[in-house]
Amino acid sequence: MNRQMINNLEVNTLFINKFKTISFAIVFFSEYTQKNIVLNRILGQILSTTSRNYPTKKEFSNRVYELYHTYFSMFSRNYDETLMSVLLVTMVNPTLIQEENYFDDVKEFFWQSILQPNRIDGSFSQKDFNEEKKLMLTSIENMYNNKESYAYHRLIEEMAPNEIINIKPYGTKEVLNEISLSELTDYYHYLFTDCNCKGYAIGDITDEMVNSFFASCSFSTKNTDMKLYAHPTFLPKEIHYIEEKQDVKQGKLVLGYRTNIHYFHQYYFPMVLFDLMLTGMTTSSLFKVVREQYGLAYSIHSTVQYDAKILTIQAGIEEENKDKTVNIIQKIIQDYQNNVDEKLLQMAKDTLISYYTETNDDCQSLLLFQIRTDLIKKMNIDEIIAAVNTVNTQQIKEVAKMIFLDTIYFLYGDKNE
Amino acid sequence: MNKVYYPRLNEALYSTVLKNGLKVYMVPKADFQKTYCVFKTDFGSIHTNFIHRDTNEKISFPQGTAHFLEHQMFAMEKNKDAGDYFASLGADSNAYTSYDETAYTVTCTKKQKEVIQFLLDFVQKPCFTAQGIAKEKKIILQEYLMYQDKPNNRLHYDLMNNLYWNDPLKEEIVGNEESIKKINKKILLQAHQFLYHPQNMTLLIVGHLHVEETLQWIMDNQNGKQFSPCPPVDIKTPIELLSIHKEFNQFEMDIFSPYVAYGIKINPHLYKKFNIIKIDYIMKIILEQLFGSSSDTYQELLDQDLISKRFRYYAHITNNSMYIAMQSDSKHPEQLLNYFENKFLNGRRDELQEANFTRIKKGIIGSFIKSMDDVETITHGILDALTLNCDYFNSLDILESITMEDILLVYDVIKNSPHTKVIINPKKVAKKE
Repeated sequence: MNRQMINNLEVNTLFINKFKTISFAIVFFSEYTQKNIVLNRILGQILSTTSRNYPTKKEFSNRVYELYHTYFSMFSRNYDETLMSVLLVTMVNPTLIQEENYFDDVKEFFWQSILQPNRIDGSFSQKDFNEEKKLMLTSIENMYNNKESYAYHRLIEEMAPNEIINIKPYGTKEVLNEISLSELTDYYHYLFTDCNCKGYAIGDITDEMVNSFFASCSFSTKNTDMKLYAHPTFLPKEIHYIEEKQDVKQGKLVLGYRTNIHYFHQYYFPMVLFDLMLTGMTTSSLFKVVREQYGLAYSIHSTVQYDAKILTIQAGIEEENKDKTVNIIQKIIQDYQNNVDEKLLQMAKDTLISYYTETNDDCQSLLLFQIRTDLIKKMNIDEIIAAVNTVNTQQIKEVAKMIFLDTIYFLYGDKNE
Repeated sequence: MNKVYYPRLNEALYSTVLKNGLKVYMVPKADFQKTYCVFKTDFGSIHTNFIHRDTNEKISFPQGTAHFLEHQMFAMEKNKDAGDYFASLGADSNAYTSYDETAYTVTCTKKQKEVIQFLLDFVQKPCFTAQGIAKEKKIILQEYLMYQDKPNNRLHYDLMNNLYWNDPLKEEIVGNEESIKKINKKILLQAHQFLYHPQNMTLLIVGHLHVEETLQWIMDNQNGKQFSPCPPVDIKTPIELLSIHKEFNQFEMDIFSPYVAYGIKINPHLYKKFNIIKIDYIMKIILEQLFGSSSDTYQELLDQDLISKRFRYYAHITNNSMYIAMQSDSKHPEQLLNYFENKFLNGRRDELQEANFTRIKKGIIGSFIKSMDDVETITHGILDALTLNCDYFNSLDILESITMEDILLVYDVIKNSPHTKVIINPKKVAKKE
């Protein structure tokens, strides 16, 4: 990764000629709050669908098509309490397009769209703002329809109501209703004038192209190191049980565990491997026993939120099998405290290494990996692979001893209703 | 191997047919680290009825047989599992069943020879036990129940049921509770014998690979096996009427706001007029012009609060069946369906304009070139094109050959085709957001 300053912006470039696309990104680093998430989503939608020169969705979209479907998007990710807002533009490698000014046209369209948005007297269009709020509200309401996702979020609401994990990536009705047009305008100014940011470029590009692309910007780059927080360690005193009835044909079971292993913990990679050993592969313990041995579920998977230090395990099961499934999952996790299958650990290592190796084959994955690396791990792919290879069975046992069941959520219904 | 180089994309497709009938395709991607392999049979959920060519005997499989077979193929001797062996090689295996094919997929970054040879081995050697089948039934029933809780899944199959009288598109790929229970070892073995013969199968490898060496591994593996002659069975395709089965249907689910689907049944004989990929592109261009973000309609639908961000439209195009589907959740389901109906029945040819057509074509060209960076997209694009007897990498030339006259001709066909509507209503007022 080549690092240079262009117009006071730190720009990181990865020159790779195997891709047929070129990606440029501006990444803003702000505070991860529910309000910023909502503002970010609304702003992202407005900036990527309208601009001063193309003030309607139709006109903007027509321009996107003229530029060979060169679209840009704004999405967000959080790492701990840092919110990354990524403005990404992906274009076809100009050598594959028979148009002399293609690169310059894309560059102009991108910068005009984000620096000259569709505003009247400095304020975004009330109509666009209301429209995005309405669409977002519908998305929030319709979360109810996806029962797996609904069950997961209900577990988090009950288990960690005041923790960072309960910030909803799709927003909340309350925050959405509170947000005003002037707050959106202020947020836009904050991102583009006060916020820490970095630039990224990946693909078959030249120094000249990178310099030319970022010459249009004027940002201030400050220290973007992630802040470390002393998160409390949770040891649940008792297991909380929550049940909810809806008209579902299959029960949705979610178990929430406290892990106490953060991004920076010495057992971060053992925890990643432990997660894979539980459900990430067809050879994983829970997949083998819950699905293959007992036929209790078609799907069982786990997720670890490292900033919140929470592990969740989710399965679709029949109501009468709930206790049996919970007992099996609990026993398997407890067994890991004393016995770890060395072969399974090796498979998990191979799978994880393969995953990191494959990152090199995808432009956007590489970009996100690089941003994340800059923020937290400070390790390149080879260093990560080396670290993964050093993990041993004893460390997995230690990880298993640091897992505590906190809450069991079960969404059930009457199959015959 | 036969090599076709596509200079515009700087990609090459290698192909050959082995002595046993197996079709092999490869696309090497320079500097990529991942190898993606798909071994597939032209046996999908819609293939349930067959006729023996010699005896004229009719053979029927329960709904969901292709999908059940896909699950069961991973079972190996001594209670071992093919997925475990792939994992021991550091490879990630999976499989899927669609309407018209069953495919086994593996991704790896090392030990390509072992991975490819094992992929061929496990799919060509069934190992079914009554106990294994009984266990798998429980898992598949859970999969079936999982899909019953998904509104989009229910909406799709209800739309198919409205559109089709006899076409098995209306049946769920996984089957149903009754049909799954009927599947047994004899049926699975017979299905494997009929439809997993090398003559009915394709192996496609994309990504990090050396063509000649990889072909040698495949030939070594296949030459070491004996195959019986390909069974003389033909797929029996049910006769489908041109009219729709039902004009309207509605039902309830425990959801927050209603879901709607609008479907148009197109006479599949349209393919006699155009190359099938050409029809696919023409449909995409028409739908984008009428309903895409670059249309007036899209803004109108937003202004009238008729659609959400989940609004989607697509055309299903095969040699045997063609339909257009529009879906969204909507607070005003009847209004939205009426809007669609009016748009198609009273639509004017002048809504389709040359300038938009040219722009959308450029957009599709850009998306296609960008998709060349994704190994999985290339693989499945080639497989889809092969099913339609088309050359995937030649798609851009086909796209560029489309004229405004072609667009208007297909538009007239769409306008005069029968349509149907489905609504899922919320069962009760939701308590939570």
